[in-house]
Amino acid sequence: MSYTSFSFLLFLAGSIFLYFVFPKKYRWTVLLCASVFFYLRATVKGFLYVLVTLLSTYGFGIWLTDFSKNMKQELKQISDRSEKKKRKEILQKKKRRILLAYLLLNFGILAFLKYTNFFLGTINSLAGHEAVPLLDLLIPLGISFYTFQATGYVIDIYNGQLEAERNLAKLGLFVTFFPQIIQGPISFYDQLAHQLYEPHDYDFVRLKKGAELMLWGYFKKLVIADRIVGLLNVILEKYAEYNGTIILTALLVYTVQLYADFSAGIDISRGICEIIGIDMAENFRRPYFATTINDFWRRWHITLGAWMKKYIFYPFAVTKPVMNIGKKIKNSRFGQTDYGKHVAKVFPVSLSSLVVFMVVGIWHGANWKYVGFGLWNGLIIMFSELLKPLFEKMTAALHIRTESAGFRLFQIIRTMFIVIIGYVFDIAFGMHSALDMIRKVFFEQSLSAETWSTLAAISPIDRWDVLLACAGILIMFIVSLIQERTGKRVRDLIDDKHWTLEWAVTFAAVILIICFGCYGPGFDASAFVYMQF
Amino acid sequence: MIMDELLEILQDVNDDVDFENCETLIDDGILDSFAILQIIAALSENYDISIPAAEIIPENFNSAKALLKMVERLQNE
Amino acid sequence: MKRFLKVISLIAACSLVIGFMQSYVMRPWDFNHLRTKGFYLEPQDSIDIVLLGQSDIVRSWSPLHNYENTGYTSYPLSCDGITAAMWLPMAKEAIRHQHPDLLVVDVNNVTYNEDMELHRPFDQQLVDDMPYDDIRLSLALEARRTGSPRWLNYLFPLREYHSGFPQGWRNVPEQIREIRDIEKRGYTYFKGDAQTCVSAGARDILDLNTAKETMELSAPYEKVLNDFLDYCDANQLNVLFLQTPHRIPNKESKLYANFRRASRAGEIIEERGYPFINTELLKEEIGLDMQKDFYNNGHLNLYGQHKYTDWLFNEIQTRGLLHCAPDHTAAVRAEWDECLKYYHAYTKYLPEYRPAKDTDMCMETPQLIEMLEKDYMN
Repeated sequence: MSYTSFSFLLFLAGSIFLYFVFPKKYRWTVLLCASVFFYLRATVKGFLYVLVTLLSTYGFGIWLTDFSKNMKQELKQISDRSEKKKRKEILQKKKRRILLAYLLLNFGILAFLKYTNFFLGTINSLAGHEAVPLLDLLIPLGISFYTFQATGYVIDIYNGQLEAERNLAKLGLFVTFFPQIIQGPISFYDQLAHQLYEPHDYDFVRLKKGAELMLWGYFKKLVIADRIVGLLNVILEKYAEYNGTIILTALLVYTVQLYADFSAGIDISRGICEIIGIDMAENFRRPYFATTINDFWRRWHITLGAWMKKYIFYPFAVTKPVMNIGKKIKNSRFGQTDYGKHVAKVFPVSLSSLVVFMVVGIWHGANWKYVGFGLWNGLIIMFSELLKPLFEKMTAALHIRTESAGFRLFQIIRTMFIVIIGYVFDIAFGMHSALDMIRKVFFEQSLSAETWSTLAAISPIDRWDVLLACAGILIMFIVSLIQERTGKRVRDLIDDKHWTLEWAVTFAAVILIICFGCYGPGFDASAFVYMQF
Repeated sequence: MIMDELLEILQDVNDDVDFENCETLIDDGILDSFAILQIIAALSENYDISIPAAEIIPENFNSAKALLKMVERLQNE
Repeated sequence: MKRFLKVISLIAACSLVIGFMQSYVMRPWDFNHLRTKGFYLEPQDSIDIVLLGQSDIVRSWSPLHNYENTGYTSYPLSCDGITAAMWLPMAKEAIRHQHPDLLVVDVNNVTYNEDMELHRPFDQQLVDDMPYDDIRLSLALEARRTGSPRWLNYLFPLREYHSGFPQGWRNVPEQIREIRDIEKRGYTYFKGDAQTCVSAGARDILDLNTAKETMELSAPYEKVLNDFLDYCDANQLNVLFLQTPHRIPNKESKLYANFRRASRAGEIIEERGYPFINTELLKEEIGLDMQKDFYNNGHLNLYGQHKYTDWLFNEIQTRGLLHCAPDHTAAVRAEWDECLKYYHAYTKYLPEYRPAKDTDMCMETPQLIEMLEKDYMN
């Protein structure tokens, strides 16, 4: 069920109603049934994969919890220090193997479903012909999201930060919770689970605020994102025929559309959770206001970044080999210099970042272009950190006030530039076309009348649509500005004013969405961007 | 004193931070990932312990006191 | 309480504005919509004959020309391109609002063999101006049952027309004014008619008089026909089925296939005991000039239409299909008499006017009405 379909709204209304009507003790079961129903409506076959992940998560979670308990007991009994250490090592190894088995199973399924055809395709292109047939694989809805969420839970148990949930149905809710399943956000167990299981009371203010957040999401998706996506698609279809300016137009459209679409879905999810009484993690924090690429990735797809940081970045960065790199550099002659000290400090960390970005890249999809995406972001971060002292010297020499608004603007534009080049990897068909597009953008610019007339001829949206989209973008920008400056939620700020403001804003939003939104069978509404990840 | 030794190590990593008094090093974002990893490198070298990633939680890193507790715990394991 | 009022007032305001946008602003407005709206504006039980079909029947029968000659009132409840699935709801609406003495149904709707779903946007035109009653609801649910993704658009037209102004946003004030004019007046001047004096060029026409071939109807269409006949049986309706005349160039033409299916439809209809006239085979009798009385291969022009109307009414009388004399109130007659004046003015003007597209035919814009009153009425 798409978030923008009539049947979804019915489903949602029904589920929320049932939730608040059910006796408190069983309210979480309403969420579970709604989530299972939602998933089965999307795909029944895919649900089998979910079950495999759920059952393995449940089983391994309990196994690891009990194993840890027994291990503790056993070690307590041993008094001799060296014997304890030896035994501990053996038990740790076994525990690690249990975790590995679990991770292999679940990430193995994910890798198999997502990347098999990628490997087969690469083999074929290397062989020059179709040496091996591609497999017809179903990719279950939200597999990248629920796999990550579930494995996070098991890893937390392994690390001793959690105890296993012994109620399979409750764990099932954590794995399949429907507002998250399509495109996240990815939650940590200690943050989300108790909120799912605790009963929440009906509260009008919360319902109102949640509905307002949902309205905002629908506005972004239906009035802005779905309106302009047609232009993007029509340029991409035959990108080779168009010059760099038109490609750049497509990139700019994508910049807006991706943010509007993705953040809209997240807002709708969070709005639903707010109505129910659950505080769902934020996934976006005005990403296009970021001053550096590092800052950008702390504002974009925040929960994915947090997951990567906790389970890949830090574990990789604290491994002996990586820490030794830093040590080696520090102890070398080069490491005695000021710059050398900086490199010793920064290099292992940026190397870990690079690894994380490669993972983030291929998480997005099975295509060499995503490797490019990972490299682009990771290498930029690495070099920006390594060259930081040089930049600092430059800005000092040029007497640039790094606190000034002007410099901040420069930083934002610079970051956007890097992000937009990164977006080429998203929209291109493959590595080859991505590089081709980048070349065109840099070397084939043409602000001529011919360019504009070509654009006008191929564009499925007319001037009126462009006007509407720009108005929508302006509204989005103003809202983001308010959020960034005040750090508050706009709907809270509106609520503080006279009630007529809230009334008027809600009224305007509803009218704009229903009268000017792009929905219904007349439109090829692009499915939410991240649905098949 | 052990705390003084720890504070010296911490100041060495980043002397802008008030390690002695601050109790919200992680919560307030005062320590970034560079600082955290450097602290880990310094602590593991100085105290001959290995600090797994699982220990990188606010409870352990929010204050010098918490860090000391973690170090002592890891030394005894 | 205060909160409750705020929520209710919000819902009310949204409904009002959305309703307004849906009915007047974000909607197409052409001669099809005018025709449908005009039907529902006519006084209760004032129409003697209601005609159901597509563009063919609208171009073939002139309500005002017939009224002038016979005193009977009639109205074409049809839009261009609609599917036969609309027969049943339209018949129900006709009966509910008008209790007509006779229903005339053009079988051309069931002579196609493309997917009915392709024609749903045309059905939408007619549904847009239907009142929100149980017939409209069952129409939508039936569309849902056949798997049409457009079913919800029948209940909520904004889902079809949102985010754009079908006539162009510059025309919105004009459009609102036109619709309001007709609503305020309470009737359309031309009674849903649509015509032009243009005649199509000369061409070879297939001689059909000896042809008696039939072709099987496409299954979904045959089902619709049978369901409609069942409805007629159940309600003992007085119905005349017919096939309007076309210029069929040769046996390879689609029109020829349609003609054959129409003959088959006629067989089914007559087996069920209803009258069917295949006027494709009676063009000579009607006196139609194949070169001068059509404005294209599918439709009669003004001259052909008048001939056809006269002939058809005569047939209806001869077969005794009308059971009452035209007995209308003074108010109804006054309305039709006034419309007749405008109709005469319009037919005087028509020879000079070549509509850019069909949807401009008989569009009652304020400019047109003003011009007719000034220059063509005496």
